[in-house]
Amino acid sequence: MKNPYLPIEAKIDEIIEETPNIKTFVLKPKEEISFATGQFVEITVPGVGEAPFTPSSAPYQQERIEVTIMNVGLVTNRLHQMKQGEIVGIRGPYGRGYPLDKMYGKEVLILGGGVGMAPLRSFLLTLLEQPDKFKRIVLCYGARSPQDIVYKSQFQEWMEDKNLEVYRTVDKADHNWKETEGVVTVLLDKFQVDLENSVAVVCGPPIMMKFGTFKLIELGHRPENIYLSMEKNMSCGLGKCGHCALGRFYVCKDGPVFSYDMIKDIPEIWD
Amino acid sequence: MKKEAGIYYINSRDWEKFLGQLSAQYCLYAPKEGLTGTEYSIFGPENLSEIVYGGARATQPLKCFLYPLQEEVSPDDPQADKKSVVLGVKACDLKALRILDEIFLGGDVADPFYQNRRENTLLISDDCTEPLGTCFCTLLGDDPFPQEGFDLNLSCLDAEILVEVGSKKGKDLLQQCNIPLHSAEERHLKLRQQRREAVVQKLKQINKDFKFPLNVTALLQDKYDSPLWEQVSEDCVGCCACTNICPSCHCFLLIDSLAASRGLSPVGFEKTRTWDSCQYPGFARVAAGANPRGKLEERFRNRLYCKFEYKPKNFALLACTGCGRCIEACQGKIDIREVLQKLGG
Repeated sequence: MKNPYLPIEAKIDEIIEETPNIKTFVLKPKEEISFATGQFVEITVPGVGEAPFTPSSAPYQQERIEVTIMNVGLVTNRLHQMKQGEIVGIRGPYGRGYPLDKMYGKEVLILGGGVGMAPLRSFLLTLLEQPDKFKRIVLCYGARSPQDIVYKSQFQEWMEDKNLEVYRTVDKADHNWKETEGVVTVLLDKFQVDLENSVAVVCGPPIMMKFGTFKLIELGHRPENIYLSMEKNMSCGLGKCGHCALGRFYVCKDGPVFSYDMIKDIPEIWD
Repeated sequence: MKKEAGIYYINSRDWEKFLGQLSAQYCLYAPKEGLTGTEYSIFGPENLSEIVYGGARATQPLKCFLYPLQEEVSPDDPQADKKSVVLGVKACDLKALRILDEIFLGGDVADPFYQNRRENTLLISDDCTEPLGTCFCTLLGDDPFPQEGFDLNLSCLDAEILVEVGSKKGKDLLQQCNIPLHSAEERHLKLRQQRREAVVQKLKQINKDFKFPLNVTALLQDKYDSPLWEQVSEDCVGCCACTNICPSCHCFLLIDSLAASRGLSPVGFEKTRTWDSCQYPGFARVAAGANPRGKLEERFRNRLYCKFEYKPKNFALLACTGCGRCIEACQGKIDIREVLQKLGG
């Protein structure tokens, strides 16, 4: 029987500096890993530890898996010190990703904050591969400041893409910033969506997820049409170690993507 | 486990002969008198007479045999240990095993380490005859005698032992040993029934002062925000003895160490898992610092909700068996029966 705890070796093929504390690592696993957008993987720094990340690349690009990582803890700190050519471990994918089949033919509203754009990028690239299948794609993204925006060059392409509407904001603008200033929820007042035929997908820091979701509800989005990528400390990835418990669910196995109606009554979802 | 019926009686001498044969082929674990009550020990032909039959559940939970305190989980191909027989398992531990099976064998992928041990461990349970002051299975609607989940179950009736077959593995085990088996007679079953009822009465007597509704899940339904959590957890010192000793607690921590430094492989991913506990402050904390259960009373509440609400919702099983080990192990002398009583009051 295959040992599900054992990672596959993956070479760091390229490192892209996104912001002062966020890097995208392009990984070449020894064996192909096929995942659905929104599923996550566990990445091991040998001898240091393991942490969960949702790839930021699209599933159709299997030989080069990209993960966008903020330097916040023990494992991510060591990852940020690693160089091109070094080896990490990767295992997965785990959990349930974005339910694309429930989104076909609809308006898709993507609401992202900070490094929470990582899984949303994978999702967005998946949508942009098949734009005809969606009625409309809108991306709202907020970052702390212009320099904290991830995927800077790709955003330029996205803003020119006729299949996509992009709105951006920063909490604190600088003198070059021509777009919106303020928290990400202000972007939601800039356009109308067909509430009867739309879904919203949210990922970002807990506080942004909370107020983003509340704002969507206030605007009339239905809880079952709002999808959240929950951030908990998934460890085993298999629904066994208990670390990522969210009420009766294990985020690793039952999530990480949940519709809001599944979890809205769990008291600790935003903590 | 395929259900196999059949109840036999064996005289004690033949039973010991049977165990002698078993101990040659299997690692035989059984309870014996120890400093903390009955404790599991390994047995061979020389010390079979020290096995304690009946009594109450042993100090160690059954999970110790299937899910050790610490183990390496990095080999390519998990190797099976020598086959084991665990004798003297009580009904409460068999019930907890159903939770462990759901967790480790269920989900998208089974845990190969647990599965290996589970498949290579035979369970010979027996009836509880002397419940401890901390035992309360009957308050949760359970019985102190096994009805399912065993390979063989024993009921000691003076000079004879009643052996109930619970699985094909159990039946094969009996048949491969050349000892005389006799189908149980009416008098045996009647005596077993009488003794079992007497133990149920003992448990009722032990727990006569505790009153909370049988449906603890319903009791907890509107208690999440109760101010009582702070009060009922005030003696908790956060030592995690309750979750470590709990037969159904399964949470673990994965630890990476550097296999390469020991020359094991060029890169080498060496992972060990060790029991962990939702009672530790950092258990649910994420790297960026958010912690849904930073306060002790939140962690205390989580343990009870896990046992009485989350597991029942997921598996239709309570994750508390009334074994009372957490009461016995608690440094703060917290009695879960009193906690439930206070919450229900």
